[in-house]
Amino acid sequence: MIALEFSGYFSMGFPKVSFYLAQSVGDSAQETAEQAKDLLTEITLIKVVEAIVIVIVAFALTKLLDRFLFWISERIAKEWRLRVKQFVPFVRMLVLTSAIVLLLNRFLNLSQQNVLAITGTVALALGFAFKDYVSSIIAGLLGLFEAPYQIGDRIKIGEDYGEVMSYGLRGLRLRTPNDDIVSIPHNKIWTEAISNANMGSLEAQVTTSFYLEHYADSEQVRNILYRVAQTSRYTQLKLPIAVVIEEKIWGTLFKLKAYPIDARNEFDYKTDLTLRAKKKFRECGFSYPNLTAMDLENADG
Amino acid sequence: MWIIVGASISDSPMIIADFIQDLADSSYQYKKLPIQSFQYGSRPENDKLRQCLQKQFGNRLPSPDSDRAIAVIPCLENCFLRSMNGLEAIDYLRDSLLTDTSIFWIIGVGQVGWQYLQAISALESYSDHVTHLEKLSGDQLSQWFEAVTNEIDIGFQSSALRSESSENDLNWRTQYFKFLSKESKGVDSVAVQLFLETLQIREEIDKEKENEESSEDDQPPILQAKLPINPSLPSLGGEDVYFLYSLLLHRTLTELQLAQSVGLSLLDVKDKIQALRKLRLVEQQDNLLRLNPAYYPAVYSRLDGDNFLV
Repeated sequence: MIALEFSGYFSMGFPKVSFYLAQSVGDSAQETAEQAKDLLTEITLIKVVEAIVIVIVAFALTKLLDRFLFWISERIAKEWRLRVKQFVPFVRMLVLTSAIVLLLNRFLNLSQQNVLAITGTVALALGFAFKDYVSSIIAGLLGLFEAPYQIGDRIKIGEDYGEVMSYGLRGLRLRTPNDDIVSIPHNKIWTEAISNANMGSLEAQVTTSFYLEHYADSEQVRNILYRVAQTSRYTQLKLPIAVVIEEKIWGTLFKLKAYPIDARNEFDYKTDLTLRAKKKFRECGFSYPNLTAMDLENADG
Repeated sequence: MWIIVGASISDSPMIIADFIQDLADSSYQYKKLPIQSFQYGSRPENDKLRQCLQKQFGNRLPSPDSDRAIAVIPCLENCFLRSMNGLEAIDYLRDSLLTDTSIFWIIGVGQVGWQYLQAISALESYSDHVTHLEKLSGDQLSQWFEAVTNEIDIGFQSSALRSESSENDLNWRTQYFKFLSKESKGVDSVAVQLFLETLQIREEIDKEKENEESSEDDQPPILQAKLPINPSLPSLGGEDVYFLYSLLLHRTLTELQLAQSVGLSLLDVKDKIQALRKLRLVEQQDNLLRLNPAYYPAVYSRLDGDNFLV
């Protein structure tokens, strides 16, 4: 009954409704135009020039401060190197935020209403168009305070391992052992496990594996490995040295765990330990497991 | 056991050796105990370190008066080399000699060597006393240098010292040695090196003053001491700090021993050492390399900041 009445009303009064609807859309458009007029300030040539100057200065300042902080961090005592580098993202964020505020202040009337309107609109637009980009920026901002990784840390994200060289707005850059630079977006912290070897400190544990036959005297090998670590020029003796022994089907696996004075020397350190340990093993007559590929497959299986 | 720890660049081994000699000669020798000091011409070869210790202390002959004795190692750094076989003598010392309760040990060691040995062999747990030698004050330095300063006419007054000095009631000599003590961190060898480097012949200074009218031709040339200032550390390569640490760890090393200590080939070490000598950071005397004492405060501070165990 109601449906019929409504349908009758609709069919009979359509032109009238259409008129009201058109009028309402017109009002709404006019209102939006008025709001936009309120929101935007008058754009003049001076303001455009000022905006360009602000962008250029902010860009140049970011680059200059980046270079200066990196330059100084490599010249001061190592204990301060990472602290100075970790300061870089904060400086960048400060410059960027200041530039954005100055730009908004030039072109927009930032009243309370306008700020709410802009925030809603921008959030909606960005939500659709730059979802991943915004996600990375937010992750980057949170990362500054949560610090799952900082500049100078040695981290592993997914398959990539290396030293964090830079911490940008959208992502970080890793220098891998092969000297490749890998860019990784910050939003990986939502989904990937991040393994951090040094968490802001200079030292990171290095594990060096040695494979010997079952017949090798494990106690003697352990003593040799301790001495190898104690006499390496890279070893940080303030931190513990450990040797872990594991029996395998094909032989005995010895893992020497120690810390270099500077995590940057990780691979040189590993090489130094391996060279000197192998030399001593040779002197002591220790032999290595001699396995075919098939034996190895069977052992793994 | 009594451990005497001094700065790794100081002449504490000589001081300990002299002290022991005086003690042995004096009539006040404690309970007439025999004193045996570790004798070495130069640092023994790596594989002979242990034999050397064993030969001198391992088969100690019992004294007719007493079954107890005092054994002295003025410079423990000469008993080890940071290499695979170079620590065997320290193991032997710890496991066989220090456990002999009939011997009282007096051992001198540098600060860096002591830190290293503590980390790898826990020597401190065997010692009754560990004495860290105190820094030399300005007055002590002044007294120590008296033999030289009384002999040679040295002027201590300088405009640089005047501008640095805050106390007006002290005389120039006192102020100079106070400043020398501060700059040398109270280390004897550093103070000597800085003192020598600050000396200038008065005539040379006069020549530098172009507009000086007064003629001092008749005045005999005397020495003038400039303001002692530590030289700043030159820019160092990545591996250089490991070399400097090694030299401090062992006090003096030959090139071959240094190569063994840093785990590099002799050829690599020669190039680096040449560069460090050119920078005046390292000195060589009779094939023995050592850190230039004037750079000790700067090098020590750099190693400390670079996370080394010093």
